[in-house]
Amino acid sequence: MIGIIDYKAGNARSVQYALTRLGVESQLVSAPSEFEALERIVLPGVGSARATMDFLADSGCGDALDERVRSGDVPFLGICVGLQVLFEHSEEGDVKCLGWLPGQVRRFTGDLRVPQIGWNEVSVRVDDPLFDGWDQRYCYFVNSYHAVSEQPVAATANYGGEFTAAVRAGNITATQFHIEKSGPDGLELLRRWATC
Amino acid sequence: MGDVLTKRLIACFDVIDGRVTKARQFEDNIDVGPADEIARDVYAQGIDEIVFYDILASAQKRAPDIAAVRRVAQETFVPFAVGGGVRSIGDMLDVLDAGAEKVSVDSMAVRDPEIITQGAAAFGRQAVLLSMQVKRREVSPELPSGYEIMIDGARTATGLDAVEWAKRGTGLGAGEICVNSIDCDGTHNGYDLDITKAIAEAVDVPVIASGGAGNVEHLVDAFTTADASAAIISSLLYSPRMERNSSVRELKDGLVAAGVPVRPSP
Repeated sequence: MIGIIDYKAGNARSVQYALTRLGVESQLVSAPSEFEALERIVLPGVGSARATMDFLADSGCGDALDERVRSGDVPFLGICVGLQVLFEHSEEGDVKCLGWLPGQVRRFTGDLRVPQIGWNEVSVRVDDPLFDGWDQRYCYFVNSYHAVSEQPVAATANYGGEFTAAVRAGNITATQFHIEKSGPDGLELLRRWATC
Repeated sequence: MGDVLTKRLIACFDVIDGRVTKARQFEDNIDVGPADEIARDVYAQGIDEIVFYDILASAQKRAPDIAAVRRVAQETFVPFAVGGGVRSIGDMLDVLDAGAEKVSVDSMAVRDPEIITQGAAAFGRQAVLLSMQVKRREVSPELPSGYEIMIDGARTATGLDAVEWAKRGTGLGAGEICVNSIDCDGTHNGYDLDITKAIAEAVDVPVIASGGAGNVEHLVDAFTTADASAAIISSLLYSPRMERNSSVRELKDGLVAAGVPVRPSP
């Protein structure tokens, strides 16, 4: 069973609808006790880094994630803010994040409309079966902040400069774009992650 | 302002009893079809986004029709905004939990601007779409832009200047502004480029042009002349009042030919 963490600020339901469309069963989870039976975990993201981190700390889901994903080997998918909180620190609300991946989350700067809201072309930067034949696809981004990774990232897009569009590290996968709202191309990537 | 993203085409559903309708200048709504069926159709055509307005909710003092919102969300995997009747953070959460990821506030935000701030704090500013009904007026000290904000289905004048309200709304936390021209709505004569451009220049969030599109040139004008980031194209797609409707693909082909970047059609 895939668990989608529902922190009452976001789009857990959209992710569930997308998985249902793909014929994949899922449930919304919001308490650590529900993590035990999960075979895969999704941390969706709408809302702020601080709201997400506060929820993870207050609910105990952060510890449960740490145990199942970081110490364990449960496949994990972070979406949007769910990607950003994997890094060490976010400028958004000056908040300490999970720190699973080395790097910082920074606001877009320059002569740009912020938030970035729209479909942007994603370039795959790794040789990885998840992205095999999936490149230069247009995906839906909604973000004011972006991760500056200290390690090579899986995919990038361009908004006043190149930024992190997706990361892969062991059992951790995360997309800055809304994989569940990126049309057939997003659904295809979600299907691969959910069934690989 | 630098806007390197593709331009978005948005289908806007004015919903009554779960059915999409089409109005002209905010009146005389005629029936188009069930919202979930139209949603499935425009999604398959490659629409970039859907906005769902429960157009009677506000007047009937009730929350938006969540069951109808859910049916659309289950059929479409593109961004989805919902408005009409949203009065509180609780209503916003219900809408997001039904599968939307943006909430559109309009008349309610004029009456209680605090809802913009509260919504942005709870769900992030990208989740708060400030939709505004604008009407052309004489330029005056009270209305320096020459456009006034109207509410309640364009029936009530507020005395607010459109550009000032857009700036204020953005300052309060709106992540996106939709400029609905009452004068142009349903006319098929083109968007009101003047006010769209004035607002796009005044704010640094994305601006959506709405009301009046009748052909692909109107879209090109909105994206280039007025610097809109997105445009609402409901009549073009499915208004029974148009002699001939267009497909999303035709419109995108026309935009590409005019040099406007779009997400390719499937």
